[in-house]
Amino acid sequence: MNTDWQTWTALGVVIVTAGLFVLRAMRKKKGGCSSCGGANAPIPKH
Amino acid sequence: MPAAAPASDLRTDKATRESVFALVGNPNCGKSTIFNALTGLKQKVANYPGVTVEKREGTCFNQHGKRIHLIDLPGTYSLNVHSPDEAVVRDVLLGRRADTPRPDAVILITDASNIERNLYLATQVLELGLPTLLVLNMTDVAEAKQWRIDVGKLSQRLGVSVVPMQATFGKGLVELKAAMSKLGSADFQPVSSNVHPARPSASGNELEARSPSQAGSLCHLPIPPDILGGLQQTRADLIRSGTVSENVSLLEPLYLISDHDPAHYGIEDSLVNRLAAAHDVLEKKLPGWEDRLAASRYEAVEKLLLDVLRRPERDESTTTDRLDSVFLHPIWGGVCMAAIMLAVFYMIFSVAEGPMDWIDKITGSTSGWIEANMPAGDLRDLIANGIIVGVGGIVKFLPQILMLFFLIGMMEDTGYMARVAFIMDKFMGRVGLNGRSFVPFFSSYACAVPGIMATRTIASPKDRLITILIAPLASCSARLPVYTLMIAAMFPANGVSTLQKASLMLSMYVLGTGGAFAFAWLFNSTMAKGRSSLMVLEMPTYKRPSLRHVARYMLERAKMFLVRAGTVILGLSILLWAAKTYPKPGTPEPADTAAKVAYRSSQLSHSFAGRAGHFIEPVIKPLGFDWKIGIGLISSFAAREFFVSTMGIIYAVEDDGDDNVEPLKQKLAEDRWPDGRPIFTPLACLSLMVFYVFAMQCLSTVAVVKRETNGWKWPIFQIAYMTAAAWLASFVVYQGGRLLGF
Amino acid sequence: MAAALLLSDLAAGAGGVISDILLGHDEHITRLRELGLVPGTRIRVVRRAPLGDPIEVSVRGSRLAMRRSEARHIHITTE
Ligand SMILES: Nc1nc2c(ncn2[C@@H]2O[C@H](COP(=O)(O)OP(=O)(O)OP(=O)(O)O)[C@@H](O)[C@H]2O)c(=O)[nH]1
Ligand SMILES: [Mg+2]
Repeated sequence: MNTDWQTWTALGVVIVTAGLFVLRAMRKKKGGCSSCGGANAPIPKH
Repeated sequence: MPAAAPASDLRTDKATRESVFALVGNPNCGKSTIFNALTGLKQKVANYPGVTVEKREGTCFNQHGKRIHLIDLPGTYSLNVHSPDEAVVRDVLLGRRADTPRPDAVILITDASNIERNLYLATQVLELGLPTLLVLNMTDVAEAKQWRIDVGKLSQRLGVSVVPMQATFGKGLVELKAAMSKLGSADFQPVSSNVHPARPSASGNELEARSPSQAGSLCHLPIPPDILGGLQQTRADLIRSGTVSENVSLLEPLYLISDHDPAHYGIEDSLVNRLAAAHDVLEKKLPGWEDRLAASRYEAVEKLLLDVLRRPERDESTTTDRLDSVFLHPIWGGVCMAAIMLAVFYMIFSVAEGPMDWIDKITGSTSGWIEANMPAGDLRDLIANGIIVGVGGIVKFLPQILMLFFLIGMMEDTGYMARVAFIMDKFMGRVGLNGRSFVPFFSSYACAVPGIMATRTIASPKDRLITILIAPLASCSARLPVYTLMIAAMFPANGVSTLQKASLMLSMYVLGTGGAFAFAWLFNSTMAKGRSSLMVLEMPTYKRPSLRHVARYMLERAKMFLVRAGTVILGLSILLWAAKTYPKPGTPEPADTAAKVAYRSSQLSHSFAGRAGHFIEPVIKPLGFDWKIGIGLISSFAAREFFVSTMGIIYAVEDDGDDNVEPLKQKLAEDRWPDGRPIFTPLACLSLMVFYVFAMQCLSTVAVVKRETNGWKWPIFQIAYMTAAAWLASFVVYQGGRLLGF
Repeated sequence: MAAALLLSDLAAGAGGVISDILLGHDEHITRLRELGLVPGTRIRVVRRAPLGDPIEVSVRGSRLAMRRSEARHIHITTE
């Protein structure tokens, strides 16, 4: 059935998306900004 | 040629290795401009001091096609560092940063129109004893001041090659590359290799520590003979351990750690102790030696410039002076600033309106096309009413974002931003904010992430922390969509002028700024007293804005915005669609139109998203928000602009065949409380805007605050105080407004 | 006639020679020196901000903005 197929695909997309978010959160937690003068290294304690 | 001797083996080895050059100079002298010109990279360039706050590496090729590893550094007035960004310069120069190779040579960049102060840093860098090349940048500005600099003489007196440049116009680039070839070649002999001579001074009983450079007399400091031996020993030890170059002068190593940084990366503990001891001895025998050294350096620079620089008797009135007499005029200065700000918001509304409507039409017709060509079902709903509505709802704001960044870019590139700082500093001072806080705060109007990064220019840790805490109160570009949607919902009819809308938007920015100042005052008066700090800020000269810079800045921002829409916003849209769709009711949808509406609203209300919204409704009802807005508040916690997508997705309804897509603002205006009162009254819209002025709602900011403050304590505090402030402010607005009869 | 004054007392357009800097923090004094404000240097007040504070000074050909609370520690002599 057509609708059945859509239901499962939609569910699949949602699960994959959720999985990606979880993966991203588990991997590096990095400030998401690419144009900040390359300031990505932590600063030395002052 | 006969077989090579071991010594020349070493030499070829050195010649084949990629050499590392560091760009060092005062703030705002054009380092990043030159770095970009050499490497083709796109490091941010703007006309105020403190743009670059962290090192950035790239590759370029010299005149002979040899690869060179280039490091762009933050600007600094001295190697005796005061703030985290300046520490980067010193640590990279000394090879103390584990992630960065130690530079083989230095490209010392100076601002020709400010040569006297710029040469002060030059005297310090030359004493490091690394092969050095001096760039005399901004010769056009110097010429406009009618300053004539004798390049040959300067080169001869300093013992380094000097390259005059106008980096923004690409002038002098070829010469620079040629000079780099010479500097990088294996047979380069630093002129300063004649180890510092310490010889009896005129008075005979004291010795002078002198710069090793050919000029010889770059600085003098009479060193009592009884401590000289010890100092020389310390220097020798430092050289032997590889901490400093073998051509370093006597006092430079001492000077370099005369900072207040206990870490001293890459220096052995035993050496740190020796340095500290030597430091103490010097301080005892020669009180105020640092200041005296500074004075003697300026003396040397003055003397040098007598021969090298010709300037008019009296300072000519420059373009900068003439412009400042208007922009900083006691009365007109303020008037100009207010007018410029209003014009900025006016343009954000008026210029962006047309393109925004086009994008709206495109997303609307894409949605319609999919609904017409795909059989009904979950996937179709996800695509048309989740993804396209969610992502399209944000992409729509691209024109406004571009406009905002164009205007910010213009203010940064011309140098006007520094004038705003000058005018506003009175307020900053009143609430105990550091003068240096302005630039990070101003940057936060674009995005709090680079703004918080820019706090690295602030020397006092307490002032830096306070600036980080208040930076997200500046209304960043992600708030623009929320404000715009609410202003549109407030005035669904088209009877309101653009100027009124712009003024309302401007007042939100003013409110955020006022809030930031108020909290700065609060934090400043409650937190433990820290080291007070110095405000001195350099006023850059006005520059004709470079359209290339501004365009590049806009493009970069547009790219980031679109990438974000295509990743984070896309993902969130899919998840939100799921949260509002599941769990599905057991019964199928009725065919009757009226029954269908009731069925759908009950479905939404019982979905995961709906339940979450209902769960927080009691807390937000006093602010005038219902549970659907509650869903928006929750879902936009990760990224505040997602509020707009959320409203779009929640209010998106499966097409019923009549293909006129109602704009979102219309749907909002028609929504009702159960008792029939409209939800999005002007007062509720205002309350919602005020909420977003104060609420933190941005995970990127949380992440960057955590990194910059080394822990979770401050980001959590920040979320708590900002959310509390948002709730209170909205409460006051909504309840106050109701009392007044709105 | 030489007169001893504080930098913060100068009117816009007036100038003098720095005689001493007496600031609470050694570190701050050092930074001011490094910016070129060493005793014996000519300094001129270019203007005051529209709200009276900070002031813009010209020293060694560069323009610096500083608060009056800081300028108060810079002693100058005028001729
Ligand atoms: N007129 C003129 N302007 C220049 C020249 N070189 C750079 N600029 C401008 O000077 C300003 C500062 O340039 P940047 O490259 O950002 O300076 P920087 O040294 O990297 O500054 P920080 O990172 O803040 O230390 C920009 O507005 C440039 O467009 C030049 O040769 N002539
Ligand atoms: Mg830079």
